[in-house]
Amino acid sequence: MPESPAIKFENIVKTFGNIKALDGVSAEIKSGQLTGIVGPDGAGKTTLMRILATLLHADSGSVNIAGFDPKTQGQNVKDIIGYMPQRFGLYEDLSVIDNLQLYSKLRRVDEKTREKLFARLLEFTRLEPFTNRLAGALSGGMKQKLGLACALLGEPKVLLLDEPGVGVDPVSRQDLWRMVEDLTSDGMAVIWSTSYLDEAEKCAEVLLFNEGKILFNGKPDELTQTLDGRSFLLKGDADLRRKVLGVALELDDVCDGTIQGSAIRLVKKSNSSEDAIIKTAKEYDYIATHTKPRFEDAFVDLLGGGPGGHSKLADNFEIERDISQTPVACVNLTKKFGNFVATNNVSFEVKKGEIFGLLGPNGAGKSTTFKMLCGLLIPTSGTARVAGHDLRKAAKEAKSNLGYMAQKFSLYGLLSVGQNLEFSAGVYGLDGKLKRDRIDEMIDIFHLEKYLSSAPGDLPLGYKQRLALACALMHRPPVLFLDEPTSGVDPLTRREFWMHINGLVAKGVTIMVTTHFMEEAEYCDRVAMMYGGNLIALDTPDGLKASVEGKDLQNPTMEQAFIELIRRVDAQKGEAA
Amino acid sequence: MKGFSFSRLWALIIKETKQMLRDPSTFLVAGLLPIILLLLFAYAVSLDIRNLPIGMVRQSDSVKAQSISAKYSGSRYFVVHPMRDMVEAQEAIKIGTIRGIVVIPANFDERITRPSLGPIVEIVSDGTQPNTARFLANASAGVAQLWLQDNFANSPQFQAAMANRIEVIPRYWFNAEIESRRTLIPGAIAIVMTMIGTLLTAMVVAREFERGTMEALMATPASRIEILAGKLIPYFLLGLVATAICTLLAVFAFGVPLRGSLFGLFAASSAFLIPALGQGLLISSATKNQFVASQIALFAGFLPAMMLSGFIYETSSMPLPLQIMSNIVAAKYYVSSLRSVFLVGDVWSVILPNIGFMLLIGALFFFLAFRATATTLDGKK
Amino acid sequence: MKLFSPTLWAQIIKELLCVLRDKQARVGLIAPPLMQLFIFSFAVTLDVKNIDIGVYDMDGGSYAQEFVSSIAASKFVGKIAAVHSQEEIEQSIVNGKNLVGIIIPQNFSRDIINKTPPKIELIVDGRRANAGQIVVSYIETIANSMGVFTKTAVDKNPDRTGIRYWFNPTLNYFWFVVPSLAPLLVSISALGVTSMSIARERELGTFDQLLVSPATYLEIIIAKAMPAMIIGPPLGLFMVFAALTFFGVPFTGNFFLLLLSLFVHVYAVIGLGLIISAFSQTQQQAILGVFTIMVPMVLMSGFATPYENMPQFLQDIALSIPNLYTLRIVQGLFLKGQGFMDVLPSLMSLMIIGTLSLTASYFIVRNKLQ
Repeated sequence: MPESPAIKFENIVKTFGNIKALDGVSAEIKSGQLTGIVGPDGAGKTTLMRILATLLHADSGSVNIAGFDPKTQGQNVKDIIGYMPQRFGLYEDLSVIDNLQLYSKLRRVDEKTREKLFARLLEFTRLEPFTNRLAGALSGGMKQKLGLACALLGEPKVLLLDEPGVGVDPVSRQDLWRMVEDLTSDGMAVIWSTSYLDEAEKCAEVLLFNEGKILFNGKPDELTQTLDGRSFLLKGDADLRRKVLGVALELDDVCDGTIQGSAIRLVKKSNSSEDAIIKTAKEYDYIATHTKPRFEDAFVDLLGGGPGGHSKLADNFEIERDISQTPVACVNLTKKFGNFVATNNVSFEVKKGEIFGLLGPNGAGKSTTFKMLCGLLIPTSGTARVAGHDLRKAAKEAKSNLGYMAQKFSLYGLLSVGQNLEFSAGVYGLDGKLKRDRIDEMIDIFHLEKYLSSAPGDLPLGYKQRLALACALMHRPPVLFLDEPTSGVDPLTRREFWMHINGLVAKGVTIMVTTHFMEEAEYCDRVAMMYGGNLIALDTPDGLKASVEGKDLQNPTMEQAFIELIRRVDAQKGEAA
Repeated sequence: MKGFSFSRLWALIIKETKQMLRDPSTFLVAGLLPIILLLLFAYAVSLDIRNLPIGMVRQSDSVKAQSISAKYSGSRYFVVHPMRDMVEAQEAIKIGTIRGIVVIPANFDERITRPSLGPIVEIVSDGTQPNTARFLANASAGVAQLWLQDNFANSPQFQAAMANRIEVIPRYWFNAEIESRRTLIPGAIAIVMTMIGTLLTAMVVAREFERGTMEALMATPASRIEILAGKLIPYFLLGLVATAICTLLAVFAFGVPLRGSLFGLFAASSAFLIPALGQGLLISSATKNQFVASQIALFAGFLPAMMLSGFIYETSSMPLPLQIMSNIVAAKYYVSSLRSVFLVGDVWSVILPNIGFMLLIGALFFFLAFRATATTLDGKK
Repeated sequence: MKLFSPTLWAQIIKELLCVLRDKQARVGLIAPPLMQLFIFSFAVTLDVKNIDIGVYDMDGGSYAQEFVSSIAASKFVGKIAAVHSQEEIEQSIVNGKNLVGIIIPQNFSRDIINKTPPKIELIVDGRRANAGQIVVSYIETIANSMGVFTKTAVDKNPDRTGIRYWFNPTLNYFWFVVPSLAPLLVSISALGVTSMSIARERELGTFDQLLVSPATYLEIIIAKAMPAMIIGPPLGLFMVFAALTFFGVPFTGNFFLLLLSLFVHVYAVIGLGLIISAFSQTQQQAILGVFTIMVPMVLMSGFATPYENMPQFLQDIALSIPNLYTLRIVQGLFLKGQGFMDVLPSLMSLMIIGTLSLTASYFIVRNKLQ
């Protein structure tokens, strides 16, 4: 039963230089439940978390955490909060148990309870077998669980988690949810900031931030309900789905749309008719049906709708060197590091104009495979080909045919935006007028004009994403490699990104993508699942979902399919042993 | 101090120590570097010059000329290259195969007895390296003088010449053999300690900010004092361990005597670590970026310790602005203390004022560092 | 027509921009070496000045006073203090107040009158043995010239050796320090710039981006060598200019030969920087790496003390240090009037060091992908 509010803040204002990070926000956060803080990049989520953790002080307004003011009673507040910063706050060069020891002593957990607490937390996090491993050697998911365990020491009344879901695979995320649910039932107030809306949907209450203000405060359902009757699912010829989505998003009455496996999801604007949607669907022999709205639909609607469906980037895009061969292929690809087999005898081919996804939990070998395919690692055996060129024998030719967008923001921070564009064009061999034209075109399409002399690091997240895409595409490659392209990115930016990708695919570009984000997997034509270095499944997203469907699991989501496939492999191994 | 907890401090010290022991740069700076530096200062940087290549132009074939020529060949200061004539010698000194020329003139025998004819040997020294040049000149003049003494001590001319010479008898206390390594190695220890105190500390504090762990620490009940003390105490101890390693090497491997007490040695070292750590802390609180921190540490910590501590170069001989600057270089007081402890003994009249100055500089650094580190992250944005 | 392919050209521009991006970075690159040049030129002197001396005059005669006053008048002396007991003078040495204590024995004046060789005793603080030795040699010179004043014999030349200093007749320290510091500081800057280049890209994740582009390893190495190649020689040239004007050092060689030598010098240093960078995962490792080779490089190059002074094994190691050769070249060109053939062996050695180390760095970068 929710009691008096654990946290109460009124009219908080916080400015950094000219930027108002928080602009008079007020809310109450209750004990014994999970409160989500959601919003696009730069909305003020992290600033609020830091104020609650006493790391920042508000310029004005009042904050009250379980009866204490963080400004004047910081020490008391610190005694009752647990805080997990964005990068987990772990010492990577200390072992799991060392990290736990440190934080338990800092929070003055007494000697006797410590051992019991450790045992419980280790079991809770399933980290028991790894207590002596260095935190830096853990996978993303394990780090996250350890980070949570460290924040939980000293049994805080308030737990602050800043974007804990970034870069973590579905299996680990499931564990994390289970842990947090346990905690809230014990009466703890848990605050979870996230840009993943499926996470937000599971929260008891959400605070939706935009530009330093709270747009919505309440149960996610309350917001979702406002969209009743406005969400549609369109089904038909799967090969046309990207085209249909593109057309639909350009309709005046549509405010949002995404691909969901072989189907399309559309959201109608409020106070508009659904006729146009149904008419468009008919044109392509698609059937439109009403579907239950999701929190994400409501979120996008509240923020004024997603971007259109028309990619100016794709308009002018003609593949420089049209390739007749299979764009990407690997045959018996194997990579060993010492005795450890990271990729074991993997073979697949990617068709022209296909979006091919590479999925798997952290440490499954998908990044190793990905790196071999774009020439960052040399295979131990087997071959990797891009556009028919063996990466080992004709690296230069193969590399000229691919564009690459890294997971980590990897543009030259010391160069301005304009200089980054110049460099990318030049390093791919563009010269003279052609180079000038391409750069101008990118500046025009992505509206980079006003940022040309800024440092890339200072750009808003959406622009960073655009710039990275522009740099990867300047030489108009037939194959594009995307390594977790929208990790930690808010839904609006992600939509714009995929709008361009869909447009490029229509022009015959082949896309190779790794992701942890299951909604992104839905955009793929085919998905390869990797686990323990092996390829364990290769099918369309709907095919994968269907393959796990059973009487226990009806209408599975992509995330459920992922978890089930992994479970089956583990079960088989268990039997064999 | 409200809420100060020794158990928390202890936990932070344990954590820092474990991290320190896992970090390869600790071993590089506290283990390998002392060995390299001490080795270099024991062998490479010797101010005691030996084996200088000189050219010998002997224009006389007399027995005496051969005898003095042999005296040069026998000297430990020189490696003698015989030259046909002055032309060859000039060419050799120009391209640098020899650093000086000793000319024994054709009328050598006559010159010995008739000083008015000119000096018995003419010495040319390559002035491009003034210190070496002066040494070479003095040493080769010394050889000739010695030869004269050996052969003509009893001749009346020689005695007449020597009669009114004021004989200067120098005695070098504490370092009778005048080995430069004895004076340089204590200086090298100061360099190592600067690296540990300033460079390593600046980098580890900056690393906490860079990796985001400082944020997690500051959200725990640990106070600022606890966090900073938890960082500094392990490096203070590491500094003392490095002192011990360096001292063992100096005494047992390089034959530097330790005439003072271990108490004196560690008292001076502890006092020096205060300003060194304070400087490291100040640098890291000012930048929070490992790369920038290390550059500042090299520029503001290492170089002054090398150049302005009186370790190789006499500060009293420098222009006034540099002399003033050298007064706030803590290494200067440490070098002076160490030299006394190693070569003389516990000369408290030297060591105590030095310790006083080091603590004063340390207090200044800590005051500035404490003002610069904010409890909140505001400054970082 | 451009000299390089667009791929290489783009990389060179990128490397230069990374190093010279804004005013602050440019100042940060140029100012420290120049400051160091001026500070070190004054600091690096083994000359002694302002030395404090204690005198215990047991004689008190006029000859003794004359001796003391001629010492007091010399340039190297700071404070000269009379003390009144053996114990007092010994104490002033022990507590570091005086570097040298002069003891003039009781019968000093009498010996001079009696034509018995007079003696002066010196106590020197061995903690500062080097300065002490120089002071002793100064005092000996003064003692010798005293001998000339007081002597009655015909011999006007008690010193039987004629000493001349070639190339630097007055042994001016600037003539040695300033030209030698120029290549040394240039090599520290060049090492700093190149050693950061690969490490920084690795740390920030841009190296992967570069490796998936069609840029070849050879191009990457060439591009990364460029900033130091472009910045180093002009920096050195500026220091040479300072040497000629501000410090008044003469220049006897060929100017173009000096310029060529600066280029070859930077070429030799760059390879070492790239090897460090290729091994480093982070910038911190790179800077520690630079430091680890920089100190021996300075100390063993013959700048601090003569090369011949080191034991054989250190001499052998020192053969791989570029500064050893460059130091010979600049001293030769500034003071000794060396010509092309004189510096050729040193230039060849530098070329070999550069080529070997660049080749090594190429293979290290390539093999890191395995």
